[in-house]
Amino acid sequence: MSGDAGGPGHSDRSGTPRPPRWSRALLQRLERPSDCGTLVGDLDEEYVHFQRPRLGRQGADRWYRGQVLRSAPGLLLRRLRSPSRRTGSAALGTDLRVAMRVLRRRPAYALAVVVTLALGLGMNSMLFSVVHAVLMRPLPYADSERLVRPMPDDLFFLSTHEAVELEMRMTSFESIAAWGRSLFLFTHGGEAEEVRGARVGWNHFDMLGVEAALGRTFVADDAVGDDAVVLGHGLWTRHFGADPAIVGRTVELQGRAVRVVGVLGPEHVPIEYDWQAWRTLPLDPDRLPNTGLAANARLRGGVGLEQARDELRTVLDEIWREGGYAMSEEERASVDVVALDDWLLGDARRPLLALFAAATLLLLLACVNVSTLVIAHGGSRESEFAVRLALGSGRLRLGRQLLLEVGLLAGFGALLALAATRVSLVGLASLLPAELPRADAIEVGPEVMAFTALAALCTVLLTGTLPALRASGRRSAGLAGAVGRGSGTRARTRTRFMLVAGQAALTLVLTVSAVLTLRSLATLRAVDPGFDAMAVVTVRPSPPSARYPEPEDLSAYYLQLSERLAALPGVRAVGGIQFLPMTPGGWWASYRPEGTVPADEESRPSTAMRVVRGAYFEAMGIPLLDGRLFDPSEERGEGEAVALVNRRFEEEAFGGAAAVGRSVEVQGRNRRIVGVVGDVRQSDVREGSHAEMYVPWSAAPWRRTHLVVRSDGDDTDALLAAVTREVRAQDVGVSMLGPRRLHRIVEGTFADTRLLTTLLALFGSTGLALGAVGVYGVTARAVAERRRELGIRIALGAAGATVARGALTEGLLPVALGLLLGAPVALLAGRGLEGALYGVDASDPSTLASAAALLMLVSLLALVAPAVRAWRTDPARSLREE
Amino acid sequence: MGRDGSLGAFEELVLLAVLRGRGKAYGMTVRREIVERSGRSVSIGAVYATLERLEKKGLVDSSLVEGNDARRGRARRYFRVLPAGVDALERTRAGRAGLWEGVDLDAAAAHAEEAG
Repeated sequence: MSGDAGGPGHSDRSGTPRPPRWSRALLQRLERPSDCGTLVGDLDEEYVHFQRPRLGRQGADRWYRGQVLRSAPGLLLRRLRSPSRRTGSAALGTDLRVAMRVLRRRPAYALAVVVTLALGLGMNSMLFSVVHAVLMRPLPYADSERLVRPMPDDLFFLSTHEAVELEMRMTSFESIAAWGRSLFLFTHGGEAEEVRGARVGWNHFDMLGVEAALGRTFVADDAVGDDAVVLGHGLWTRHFGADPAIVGRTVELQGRAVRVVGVLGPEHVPIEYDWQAWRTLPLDPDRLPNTGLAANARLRGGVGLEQARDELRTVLDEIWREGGYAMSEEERASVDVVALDDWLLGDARRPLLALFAAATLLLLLACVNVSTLVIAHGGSRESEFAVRLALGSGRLRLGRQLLLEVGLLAGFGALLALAATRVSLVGLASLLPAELPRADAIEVGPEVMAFTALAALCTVLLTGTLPALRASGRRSAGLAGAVGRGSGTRARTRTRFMLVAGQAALTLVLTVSAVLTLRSLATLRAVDPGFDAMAVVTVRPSPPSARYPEPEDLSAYYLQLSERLAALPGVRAVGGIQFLPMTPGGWWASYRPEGTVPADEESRPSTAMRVVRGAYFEAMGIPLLDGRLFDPSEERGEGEAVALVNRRFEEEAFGGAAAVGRSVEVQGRNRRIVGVVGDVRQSDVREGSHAEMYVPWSAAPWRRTHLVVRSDGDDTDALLAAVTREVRAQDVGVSMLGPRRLHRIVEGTFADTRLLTTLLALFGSTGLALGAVGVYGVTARAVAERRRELGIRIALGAAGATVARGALTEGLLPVALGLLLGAPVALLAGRGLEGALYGVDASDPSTLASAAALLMLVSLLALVAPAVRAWRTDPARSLREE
Repeated sequence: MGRDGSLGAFEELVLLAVLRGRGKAYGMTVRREIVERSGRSVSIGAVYATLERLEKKGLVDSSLVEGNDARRGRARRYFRVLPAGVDALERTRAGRAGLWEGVDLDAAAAHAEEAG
C-alpha cells in the first residue's frame, strides 16, 4: 500500500526502538498511497527521536497510540475522498460513501444491527480478554513448557529426606526445588502483618527462570545463613511503601531480623496464588520444617512427562525400599508428574472455555439476527438494485455494496463492544475466583482488539455473504416486476424460515445451559452446611510465640479476648475452633471404640479432630442432639477426659446406638463421650460431612485459633470494625487473619459456580432477547409484505381472527422446528457442563422442557404485535396501496 | 481559506510553522513547532490534512527526499512556502491588525468586571 522502503529487518539490526505494532499497522492502512509513507515516517521519527527519550517506552507508546487514534477519523475520510490511481479503489471509496448515505437514511436499521453486533462481540471480547490473560499467555517463567510438578496430589507430600534424595537421583530433572507453605509474620513500626508465603529450595527462582525486579533472588549462601527473604510486589508496595531502598535492609520477621535480598516484579505468578514472601529452606536436613514438602522441577531437554513419571516411580520405590517400606501398586499408580501450567490452570480451563463457547454461540445468534435484518433490508431495496443492474452496474459491485454496509456497521459494533468490554471487566473482576492466576492482568490490550476486529470480520462474512450473493445473482430481467413489487419472495421466505429456526436452536442451547447452572447455584445456596453462617463474623489472631510462649499465656490471651468480644453490643455468643469449616487445614486421628478389638492398626477407623473453646456450638448454630456440652471444669481440662462427637461419628462408631456415655480411645487416651452434635460440612458445601470428634481447647491449646462471633443484629459492618478494634486493643503486636463474614467464606467455596452461572444467565437472557427481537422482526416483515394478500382474504370474508392465527402459526412454526433441532445440541452442551454442576441432572428433560416453554412463550409475546396488525388489516387501504 | 483569501486559524499556524522551518519543514517538524510554540495539542492527521489543503491552494509546495533509519527508510516530504502563501499570511495579519486597532484589553477587562 505505502512505500515500505526500509522494512522491519532494517530497524531490527540498528536497534531502533519500535512504535506499538498495531497502531502503526493501522496508520499504514490509513495513509494514502500518494503520501509515499511520509506520514508513518514522520510519526516514527518523532517517536524515536523525541518521545521515547522524553517519556520512556510506555509513555511514548501511549503518545503514539493517541496520535493514531486522534488522526484516524480524519485520515479515513481523506483516504476515501482521494482520487486513487486504481479505479477499483476509487469505486470502493464511492461505495463506502454510498453505504454511509444509505445507513444515515435508515438509522433504526443501522442502530439495530450495531447494537446486536455490539452485544455479541462485546460478550465475546470480554471472555476472550479473560481467556487470553489467564490461559493463552505463556506463564512468566523461562521455557515454561519444561516445568513440571512431581506428585501433584496435595495429599501426597514429599518428606524432607525424599526431596533431598530425589534431587540427587532423578536424571529426568535438570533441577528440582522443594517448597513448603509457610506463614510469615512481618512486624513493622509496632504493627504486625501476617503473610502467606513459602520456604523454598534456594534454586527455586533459578529453576523457574524468574529474576528479581529489584536486588536478586536466592543464592546457595542464603540457605546456609537462613536469614534472607524475597518480597512479592504486592507486599512490597503495601507494607514497605514501594521503597526501593528496602533491598539490603533488615526487617523483622517472626521476631527475627532477616535481610531483604530482592523484590519480585508485579508480573510474577507464584506457585500458589497467595504467596507474597519467600524464604529459603535450610540446607541442614535436621532443621528442615517437618511439615510435608512439595516440589517443582525442570525437565531436561527432550525428556517427556511419561518418561519422567516412570523414573520418579522407580526412584521413589528405591528410596522407600531403602527405608524398609514397600510401595503398594496403588501408591505407585498415584505417583505422577504433571506440567506446571496444567497444574496451575487446569481447574480454570474448563469453565472459562465453556463460557467462551457460550459467548461464541451468542455471537452466532447475533449474526443470524443481523442476517435476517440485512435480508429484510436488502429486500426492500430490490427495486434500487434492479434499477442499478439495468443501468449497467456490475453484479459484483452490488454484492460488495451490501458487504460494505454490513462491514461499516460491524466496525461501529466492534468499537462499541470494546468500550463495553472495558467497562464490564470491572464488574467481572469481582466475580472471578481468588485463585485464578493472573486475573489482575485482564485488560483490553492489542490482542483483544485484534480478536474483536477478527470476530467482526467473521460476522461480516457470515451475515453479509448470503444477502450479497443474492443481490449479485439477481436477474436484471426482473426490472419490470421489481419496480412494482419485490421479486423472489418465495426464496426469501424460505431463507427467513431457516434463519428463525436456527435462531431458536441457538437460543435453546444458551437457555438450557443458563437454566442448568442457575438451578445448580440455587441448589448449592440451599445446601444446609450444618451451621448458620448469617450474622457471624470470624477472626483468627496469631499470638507470637515470643510473647506468648506457654499454653497458659495463650489460654489467658484467648480468654480475655473472648470476654472483650462477648461484651460488644449485640454479640450473643463467642467461641473458638482450630480449623474453621470451609477453610483449609485438618487434623485426623484414628480411634477405637471401647470394647472393640481391631484386626490390626491399619484398619482402625479415623475421625477429624476439632479443638473447640467457649460457646462455639452456640456461635455457629450447630445443634446439640444428645447429652450435653462441655462444662467449665472440663473446658479447663480438669477431671476425666471427655469428648463430643457428631452424628456421623455416632453412626460409624456405634452403628446408630447412643454414643453418650461410651468411651473411645484416641491417641492412646480414653475419652468419654458426653454429647452428640449435628453434622457439619467441613471443607466444601459440595462435600458431605465426615466423622468428627470435638475435644476441649485445653487438650491441645492451638496458637492460631479461629474465633467465631455471633451477633443478633444485621450490622456485620459495625461488628467487623469492632472486632478489629478489640483484637488491637487486647495486644497491638498480634496480627490477625480477617475479620471476615462467615457467609462470605461459604460463598467463596463456590465462586467458580457463581462465575459460570452469572455469565451464562447473562448470555441466556441476552440470547432470549435477541431471539425475541428476531422472531418479531421477521414476522412483522412477513405480515407487512403480505398486506395485499391479507387484505384480499379479509375482503373475501376471512375473519380477522383467522388471519391473525395464521400469522401466529407461521411465526411459531420455524421456532418449533428450531427447538426440535436444538434439543440434542442443548443436551450435549448440558453434558459438557456436567462437571461444573451440583445436584442437577444435566440430562433432566424438565430443564429442556422448561427452557423450550420459556422460548415459546417469549416468541409468542413477540408475535402479538404483528398478529394484531394482521387482524386489523384494512382491505380497502391495503388494496389501494398496490 | 475564506472567500477573501484570508487563512483559517489552523492554516495560519501550519503555514507559519512551515515558514519557520526555512525550507527544511516536514510533517513532524511542523507538528512539533506548533505544539512547542503554541502549546496546542495537535494530531499528525490534522497537520497532514491542512498541508494538503494548503498545497492544493498553491500556498506551499513540496518535494520528496529519502528517509533515514528512525523512519525505517520512509521518505520525507519537505514543504516550502510559495509567494502566494506569504501573501496570504500578510493579508491575514493585516486583517487581524485592523480588528486589533484601538482595542485596549485592560480597559475591556475592567469593564467586563464592572458589568459582571
